[in-house]
Amino acid sequence: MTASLSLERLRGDVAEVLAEEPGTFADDDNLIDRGLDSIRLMSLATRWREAGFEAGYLDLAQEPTVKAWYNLVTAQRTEAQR
Amino acid sequence: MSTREVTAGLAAAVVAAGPPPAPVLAPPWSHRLLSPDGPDPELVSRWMNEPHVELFWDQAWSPRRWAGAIAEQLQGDFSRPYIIEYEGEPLAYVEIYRTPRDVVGQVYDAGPYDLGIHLAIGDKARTGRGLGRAMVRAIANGLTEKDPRTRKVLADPDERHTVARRMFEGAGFQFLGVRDLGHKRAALHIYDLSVERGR
Repeated sequence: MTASLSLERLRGDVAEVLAEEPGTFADDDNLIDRGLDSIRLMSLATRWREAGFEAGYLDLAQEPTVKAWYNLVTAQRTEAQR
Repeated sequence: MSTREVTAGLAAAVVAAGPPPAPVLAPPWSHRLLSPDGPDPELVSRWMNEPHVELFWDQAWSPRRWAGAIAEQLQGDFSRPYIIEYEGEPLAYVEIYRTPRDVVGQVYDAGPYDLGIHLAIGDKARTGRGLGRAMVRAIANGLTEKDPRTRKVLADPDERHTVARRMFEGAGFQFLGVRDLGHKRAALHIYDLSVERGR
């Protein structure tokens, strides 16, 4: 379901909403400190839901890092494969 | 009436304090008290229907209903609705309210002149990049400047709303603790003038 959501894709999408180049932020950077606000976070949640990732705004807000989000994606994928 | 407003058993000092004052703002910031007539309810309604605002405000109402909510605020002493402008353009909807007249005043040591801020940044094009932090700091300073008796300005974002919490912390609002307000679990953040003075 979430096959299209690779780590690369998450980094790329985050970079896009922040209008930054991928690689300018680390996977464990708190993205709020990198300019992520509620509008951008909502747009990521919407975009990823369309890709099959069943995480809402509040799930993403809990720990706003690429690393934490990718963990959520892989956890969901494992769950789906059971 | 707002579901958050407390009317019973108000202390005489709280009643005497009257409605919240308008903040004193300097460019690039300015503010406008909203009117139930004209285009204001339309703008507020549009912002309140944005997904990122609706999630926490839960007031995705029609312009007509917002006109009523604006009129109601102007008639009472509880809160005042403003549009905060950045470089002359509307950026956010902000309610300034008296915390001792609100449910939040029952869960911390509220003084009669304390004020609270509720805000929704509606202009999608100009968010992030620290603008929210700068705005809430300007409002808090502007409120204490207008009325030196105001010692504390309070924010009470949803406990789970990490984006808002980070914004208030970055603006100098100290974290006080999480309180159950009934309709939400709020993270209380306080801008204390006695701490901030001299900045």
